[in-house]
Amino acid sequence: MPTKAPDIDQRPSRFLQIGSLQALSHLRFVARHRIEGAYAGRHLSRQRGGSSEFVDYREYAPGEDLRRIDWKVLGRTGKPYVRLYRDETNLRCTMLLDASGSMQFAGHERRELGSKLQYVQYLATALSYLISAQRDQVGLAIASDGIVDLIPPAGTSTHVQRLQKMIEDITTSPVTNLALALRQAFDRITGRGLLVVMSDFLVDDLDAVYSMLRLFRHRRSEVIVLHIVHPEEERLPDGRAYRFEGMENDGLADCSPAQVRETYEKLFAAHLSAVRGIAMSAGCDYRRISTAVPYLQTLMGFLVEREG
Amino acid sequence: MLLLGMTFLHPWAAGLGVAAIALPIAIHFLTKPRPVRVALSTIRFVREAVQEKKSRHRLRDFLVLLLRAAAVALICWAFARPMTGAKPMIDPAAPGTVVRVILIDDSLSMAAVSNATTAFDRARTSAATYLRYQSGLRADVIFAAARPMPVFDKVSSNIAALHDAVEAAVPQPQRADAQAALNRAGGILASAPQGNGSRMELVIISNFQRNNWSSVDFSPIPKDAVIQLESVAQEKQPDNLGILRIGAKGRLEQGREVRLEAEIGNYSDASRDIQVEVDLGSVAYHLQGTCPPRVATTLSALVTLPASAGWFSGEAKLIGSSDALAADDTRPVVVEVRPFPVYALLTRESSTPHASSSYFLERALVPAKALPGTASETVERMDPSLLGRDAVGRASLLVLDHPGVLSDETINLLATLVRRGRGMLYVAAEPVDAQNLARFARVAGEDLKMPVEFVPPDAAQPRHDLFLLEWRHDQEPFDQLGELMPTVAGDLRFSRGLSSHRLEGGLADDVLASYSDRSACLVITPCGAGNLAVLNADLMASNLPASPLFVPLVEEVAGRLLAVSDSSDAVPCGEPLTQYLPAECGAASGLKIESSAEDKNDMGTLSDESTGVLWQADAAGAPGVYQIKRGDKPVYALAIAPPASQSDLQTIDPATLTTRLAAGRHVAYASAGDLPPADDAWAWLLVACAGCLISEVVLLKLFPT
Repeated sequence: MPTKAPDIDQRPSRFLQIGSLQALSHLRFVARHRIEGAYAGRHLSRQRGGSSEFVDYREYAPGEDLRRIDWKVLGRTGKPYVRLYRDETNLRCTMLLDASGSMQFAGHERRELGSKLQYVQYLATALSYLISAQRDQVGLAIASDGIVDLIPPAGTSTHVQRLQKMIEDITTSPVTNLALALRQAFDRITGRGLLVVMSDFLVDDLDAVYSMLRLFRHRRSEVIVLHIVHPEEERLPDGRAYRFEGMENDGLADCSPAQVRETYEKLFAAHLSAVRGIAMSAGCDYRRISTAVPYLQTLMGFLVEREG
Repeated sequence: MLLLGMTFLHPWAAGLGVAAIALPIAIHFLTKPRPVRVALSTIRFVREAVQEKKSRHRLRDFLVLLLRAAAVALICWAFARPMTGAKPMIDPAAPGTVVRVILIDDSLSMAAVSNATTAFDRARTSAATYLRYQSGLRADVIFAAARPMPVFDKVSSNIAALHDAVEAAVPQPQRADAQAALNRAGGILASAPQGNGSRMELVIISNFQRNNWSSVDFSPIPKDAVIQLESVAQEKQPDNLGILRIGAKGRLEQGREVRLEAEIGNYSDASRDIQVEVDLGSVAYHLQGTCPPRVATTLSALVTLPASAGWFSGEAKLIGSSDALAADDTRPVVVEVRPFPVYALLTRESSTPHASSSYFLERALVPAKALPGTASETVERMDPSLLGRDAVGRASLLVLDHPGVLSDETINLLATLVRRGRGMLYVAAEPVDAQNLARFARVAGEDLKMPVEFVPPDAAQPRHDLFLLEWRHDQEPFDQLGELMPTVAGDLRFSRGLSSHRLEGGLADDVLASYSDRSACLVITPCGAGNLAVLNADLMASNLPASPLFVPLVEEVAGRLLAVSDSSDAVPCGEPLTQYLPAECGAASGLKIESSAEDKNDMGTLSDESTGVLWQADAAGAPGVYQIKRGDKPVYALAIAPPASQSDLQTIDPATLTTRLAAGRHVAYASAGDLPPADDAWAWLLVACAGCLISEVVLLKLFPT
């Protein structure tokens, strides 16, 4: 079925760069697991039924729908066999964006990179565009101290415009509780769709986040964890003395970066490993994304990797 | 300026150094980088890292700051040119008008040798530094021994004469009367004419021996005078041994065995085996024993005195001792070996042998008659009413029994004899004896403090069948009687005699035995140089003469009275001498004084006094034996020896002198052993500064930022 590009003139979001995204129009955002969709589509459905692509035969079991019996085979063999098809459905993807204060971090040496939130806004807008372009449904959840806004997945252009507008208008909150947000999203999103979590995971209780991810996985939803990292988070700035100010009511910390750099880097590396560890052990697809890499490049690599 | 025991050539730089300590601290805080305020999402990791590094870096920062402050301060102090060693309060070379009194201790302890020089030699050298000629200097020198001896009566500009006096001076075998010397120095300083800007200075050069200086008071020194104490004592007290006293105990009678005693001071840190040789005339006695450290020990031996009576003089000396002070290793000694005692029995009773009180006494005093042709103790009966001065003067012991009423002359004579050392035993039995004793006490005056007053017994309460209630078993004569006393005392019964009651001012311990009615039985109490014993018993009304206790009791009482009147220690050199000669010496006319001492200058004078011949001198002379002779025959002898207190060379704590005894005066203490102030400390301070900087570098390398 041919796809029709949305009307770009109607896109109000400043984070939507359609011209750049045209280069990615040949790529598809696919789910790796069987999912549940509302309509027929290109993604493997968890249901097996009478769809187009034949897969195999199976002996008829009493009680099955008689319409699924391959009469020709019955005629040739004298035994009833049922034809098996791979069912395909559309994708119901929900993007959960972290809107905590730490996402506002934009560094102070390479300000041109923008904040992690801006990066996420570009990435999420682009992803929503691509998903809608491939006739899949996309939803949005904004997480700070719980779920701030949630739009269930849908595929209409109006919906997508509204969603992108919402992405554009995200404001951060100094308080964050990602685990609670996941919990609320879990309660409000029905079905076994795909969840994309975009966060820096700078939270107090990673174990609680892990539990929530496990909850989604237990529902057999596919979860993709996009760990957003600013390059200046990985290494403290050079200089004699800094007064670091927390972005989530964390207070102040005076120090000479040289004195604590080594320890800091170890601690941050441990944090990265911890996030990756909980994502992987929860059965999620994990990808660390540095804001130093242009989001289009990140997106292309991500889509190529998923297409396999 | 004095800081940390150092003086500074440029005190302002030292002050700057103290202030400069604050400089690195101020720089540290002023140059502390102003932090750049930056928002950071991962502040939790920063805070954790800071917490981890905080204590380590704080310690490093503190040490670095400390080292920098020390380095700056040390540089400043190096520029201040510190002078190590105590700076004396008196600068001998300081210009100006100066009144200076130099007090030099020339007591015997200053003759102590250490490192081949005497303390006095060091004192001489030290004094010379304060006697350098200088315009505006007027000075005086006081030599402090038993009596302070100033060279001039007031300060003089004749410094050369003072120099000569110091050079000629030698230590005296005397103690130092430090207070008298200070009084004299204070007087000289106070009387010195003062001009504008003139300074008063007192320099005391001594070994500050504790025995001489422990109780001085600097208050006689004018308040505006500065006092510099220059110690010439060695840092370590030199070992010294000394004979502190030599004498004999007991009845010093011809051929009798007595106890010869020598008190030895061992002022060293180790026990010493000591041997003392005592030469008396042609006889030598040896005493030996072990003397523990830091105490005086009495060595004794029983010796038999020569068979002939007379004055024996000689010397006691330590054998094989090598110590700091040689002068106290020998000590002159004099012993009067008396002939067998003659007891003058003053009684009105008949001399015919019959049972009477005086007969019992006579027999108790001389129990056995001497063999014909041999000398022995004798009893001479005398009628108190016909008493001859010469006859009674020859007696060794006066014994009074039933003397009746004594005349005033007799009482005076007896009191004089007792005060001059004679012993007297009064057997009180009749009421008249109470009167005699009361009169005797009045004549003796302050020399006699009777513990009790004897009074005639109350007619209403006759003294009858009294027994001994208590006696001093630890004192003579009862301690010599052993088990005999408790065995026999219960059977003794006494009647008549005198009652007694206690007197204020008397010593209760002088009552050696008491009756059952609490009246005194036996009293022995000193009276001047002699002793008075009162045996309150009517022997005829008592069973005492018939008891086995009587003879030994009388013998021991007589022995105690005779013994005390004999041995005496030497007179200390330099101290005032006042000595009454024994009665048998006769009048002063025809008597002469001879001395074995090398210095025979001041041997004193003899004069007739109402109570006898008085030998008097402002200061006892040099150590030796001094004899009073009539013709060629010595009638009296006396040993003059260095004071025993000089043997202990322990010095007083300087802090005591400069604080407790200073009486608010400006007193500085310096030791001659102290090095003169040195000016090389600045180099060490610079080295220390470099050390601080190197340490800082090492510290920063070890704990890099």
